[in-house]
Amino acid sequence: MSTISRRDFLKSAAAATAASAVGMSVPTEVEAKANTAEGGWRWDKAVCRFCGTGCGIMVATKNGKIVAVKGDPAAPVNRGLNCIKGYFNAKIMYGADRLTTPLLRMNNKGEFDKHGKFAPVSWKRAFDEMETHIRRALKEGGPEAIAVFGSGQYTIMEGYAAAKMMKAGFRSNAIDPNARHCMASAVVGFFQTFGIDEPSGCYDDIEITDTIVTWGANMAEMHPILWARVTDRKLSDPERVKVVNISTYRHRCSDLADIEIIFRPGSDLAMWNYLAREIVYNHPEVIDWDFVKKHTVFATGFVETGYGMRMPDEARALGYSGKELETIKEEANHTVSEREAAGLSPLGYKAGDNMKMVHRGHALGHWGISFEEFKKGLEPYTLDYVASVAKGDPDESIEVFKGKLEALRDLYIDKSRGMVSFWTMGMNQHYRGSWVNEQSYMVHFLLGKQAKPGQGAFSLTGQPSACGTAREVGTFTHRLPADMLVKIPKHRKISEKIWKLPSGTINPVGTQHMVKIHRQIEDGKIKFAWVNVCNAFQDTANANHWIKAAREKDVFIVTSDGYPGISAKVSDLVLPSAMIYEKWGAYGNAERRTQHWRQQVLPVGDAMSDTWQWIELSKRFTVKDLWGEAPIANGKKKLPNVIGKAKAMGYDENTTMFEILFANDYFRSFKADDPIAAGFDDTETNGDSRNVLGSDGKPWKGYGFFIHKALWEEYRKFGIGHGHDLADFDTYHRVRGLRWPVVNGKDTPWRYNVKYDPYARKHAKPGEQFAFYGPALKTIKRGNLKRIDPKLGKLHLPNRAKIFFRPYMDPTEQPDNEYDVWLCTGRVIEHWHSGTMTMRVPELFRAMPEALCYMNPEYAKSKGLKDGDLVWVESRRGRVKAHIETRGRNRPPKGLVFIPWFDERVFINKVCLDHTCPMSKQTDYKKCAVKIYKA
Amino acid sequence: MIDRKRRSLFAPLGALLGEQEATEIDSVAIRPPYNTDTSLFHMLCPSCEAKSCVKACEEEIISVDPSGIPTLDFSTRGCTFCDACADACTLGVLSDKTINCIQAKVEIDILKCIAWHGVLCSSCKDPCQDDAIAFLGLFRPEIEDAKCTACGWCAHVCPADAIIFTNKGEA
Repeated sequence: MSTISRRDFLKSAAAATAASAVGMSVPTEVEAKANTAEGGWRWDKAVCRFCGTGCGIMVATKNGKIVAVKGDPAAPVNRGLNCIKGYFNAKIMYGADRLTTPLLRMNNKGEFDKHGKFAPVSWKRAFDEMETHIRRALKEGGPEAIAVFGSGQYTIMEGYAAAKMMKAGFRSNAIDPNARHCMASAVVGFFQTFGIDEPSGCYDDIEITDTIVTWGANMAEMHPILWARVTDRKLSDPERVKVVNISTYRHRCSDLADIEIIFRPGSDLAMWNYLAREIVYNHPEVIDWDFVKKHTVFATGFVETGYGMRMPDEARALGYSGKELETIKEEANHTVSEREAAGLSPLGYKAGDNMKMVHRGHALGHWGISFEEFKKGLEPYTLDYVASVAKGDPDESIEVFKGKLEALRDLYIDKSRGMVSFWTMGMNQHYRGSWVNEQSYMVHFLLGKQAKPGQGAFSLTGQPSACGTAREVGTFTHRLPADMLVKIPKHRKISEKIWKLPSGTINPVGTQHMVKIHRQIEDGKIKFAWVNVCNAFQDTANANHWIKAAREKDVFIVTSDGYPGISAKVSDLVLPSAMIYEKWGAYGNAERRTQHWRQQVLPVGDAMSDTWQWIELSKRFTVKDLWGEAPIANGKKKLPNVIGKAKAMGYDENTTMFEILFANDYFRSFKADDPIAAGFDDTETNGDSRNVLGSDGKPWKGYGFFIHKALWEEYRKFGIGHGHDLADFDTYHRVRGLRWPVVNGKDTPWRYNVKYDPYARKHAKPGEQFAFYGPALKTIKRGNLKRIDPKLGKLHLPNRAKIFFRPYMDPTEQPDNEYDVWLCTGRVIEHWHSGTMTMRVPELFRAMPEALCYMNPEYAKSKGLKDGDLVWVESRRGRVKAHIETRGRNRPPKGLVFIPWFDERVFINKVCLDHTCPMSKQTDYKKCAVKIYKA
Repeated sequence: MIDRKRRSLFAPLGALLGEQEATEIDSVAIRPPYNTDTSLFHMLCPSCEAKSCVKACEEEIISVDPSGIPTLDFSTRGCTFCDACADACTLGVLSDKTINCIQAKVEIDILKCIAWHGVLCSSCKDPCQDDAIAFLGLFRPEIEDAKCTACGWCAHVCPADAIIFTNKGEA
């Protein structure tokens, strides 16, 4: 095989710059005159709109229009490269059906009518309607009746503004991002294991390590630039560097892999335990006892935690069908299967036992155990047992499969090898996603292969700012900025101080996660919901229920978007949002790298940024509207009246949230004429030449202070000194991103390691190499594999991480005689998420115009089907039509199909099951049972 | 029909296209497969009234050029070598069903192809049943002539219009 070095990559990038600085499809005539044309171009750095890789993009504008985009050669992440989506970044803003004005469902008299047709309205009318419906919702259901479907694609400032208005203004924690669907299991894995969120390593690991294992991560399509770096690394030393692809079906990563392991859905739980068992029982010499004893403890938790579904009686009362209830009954009672029995035997279960899901409410509960107990838990996970559970391709022999597991083990336990385990949605979108995340650290910790260059289990993030915004800002129902939680009084107090709120303002109950918000709309509890920077009604599994609820329940739904996706179509009010380079912004990627960009062009039509929409909404509500006594927790608790305290702080009853949260003296101290902004548009700060008629019906002239910088500088106060340090606003406009914690201007490539992390140096005992200083969940009870033993007292774990034992359990719903095929969903390289942006780019549409049903050709033949046939894909919940592809990029084994979800015409989430990891509440989109027949 | 205006944007080919009309058509026109003697296209097809090959094509990629000769259009689909056009041809122009390739030279224009310029794109790879597109790492794809049947399925998915089909010169 020919080799290609990074120098070759860079040379290639340089050639691209010289030969075709095109980015957008610049006509050839223009290209020919590139030298003269480029004279008037303004190049500025920005960030890619799409995945969590966080590639740097250079954007060229001329006369207020984007004329070219290219990979940023100076960006350390992508070094000038782009994937096909990234290359067409700018074109996503210019689709033919871009939303340009607010749209409201109205009757003939021009009144709002839930059954009316969409008609254009002014921004003022749009805010009037929102205000009316929010006031009604607050009156009828309290703060928890207003909800926000947030996003891991919010810019940091948008997410911060939204979270601040929701949590401080409305006192509602019913804001949760689509990142819940994306990496909530990774987050729980981090909190449980490290006590602090986000990866210890960074992308530099790719060039340093010599073993890369992908566990449920099709990096070749989902993190293509990182895969280019993996490919570069592999081809630079093909003999030494080994790549293993572990997946439930063959995909493009297998092209490069030395070993491909096709496993049965869900059995990754068993495979990790096989590796741990081999280490503990058969190769104890490879255990890094110094690391394990100094820096970790062993732990376990409850297994009877359900599958994140509704309870059967509740579903029955809501009219869920008998077919649906066949699966939903598992939520209350599960019969232990033959397959599970051996793996659960250390916990006292045997085949046929009824497992009553008594710990649904305490799924996160865990306790310390001894190494002997841990070892006992692993005992059943022998090669024979795990191979029988995990072999995923019926055409592969068990001996061949066992050989692969052994080869995998040999790579992990090789002391001389660097080892990086990457995963994305395969491990996160999992009915036991948090467990399987914890298990990856279990193996890496035992080997001492974590938090060192080229060593580590590494969660790759799906969205561009799932880390930067959803997690770090804390746009989750239970979170506050910088890893703080609403339920912890001290964290609320810190937030109230920074936000200048009366004490007691912040709601301590944060349980309204993404799926629950949909369910509460169906229950009639939520009366107002706002969709921000996501497509919540296409994104969520079991979609038929949520769409019906949106249209039929007494709820007012608003969607802010660039294009009319499914969420906009089921809404009552649609707001046109400014898109990526039409606003100032910042994203945080999967390696903790924060990157900022400036507004490059004016938004299309009357579109305005989500930041502006939130801040304008805050003008409509005052202290007396929001800060009186209010019911929470379904009326079981009350939020105190803080109006008196507010008055003592100098506010009065009629002070608006705008004045308190966004236009206070601190915010106003950031001057509009900041040199960082010189020569660039800033629609929120200064208004712009469009003179859009704003929320008061008057031409929008701007806030008059530098709102983006103000939001940033206030936000970063939360993290300074607590291991989440971010640099000042101006610095990010000079550099190509920095990995937090940024201390004394230096970023941190590897956390918890005293050589690289100033916080590890601060916390580590003298002479020690590591300190897992994350503060959360560091006092736990003790017990054995089965239960807590109160007599053993508590463990205090400063600077220690946890090694969890977690058993194998079967997936919630598995193929049977009637629904005989596994369905797995996911993405393709050409399209981003639900396709609202990328399906509008002609070149991307052409490259991948529809979602196909990838199927094994032999399997298709056995069902009387062939390539190109149109079929129904039907589950207990719904069905869609799709064309069969048997020869494409994804090659499933017999008995499994893969269908991507970008195509609203192949609305696969109607078919998917809304089961979640009970700990993280993240949906498992990778496993449900379907039947397939000719349409 | 292949859009000749679009083709003319390719610099190397553009030079060729200044020539007289007949040469121009011949250099870009791609003929159906199963033919053993290219002169038969010119001798027999113009006078064929049935043009049954056009109707027979399941993929609807056969059209007739101004000279009355069937030509292939890869702008939306490609050839599956299903033999239907050969079965339909009564004049013996498309006569040898063992020839499962199209007489065309397929090349990737490296100035146009974004995978030659630091972009991870492999749209052409997916539809290629013959694995005839070789990438250097993840970049710089090239067509392997020995494997390529010129079936045309890669043409329309290319976001950069960078895959050029030219007649090998016989017809």
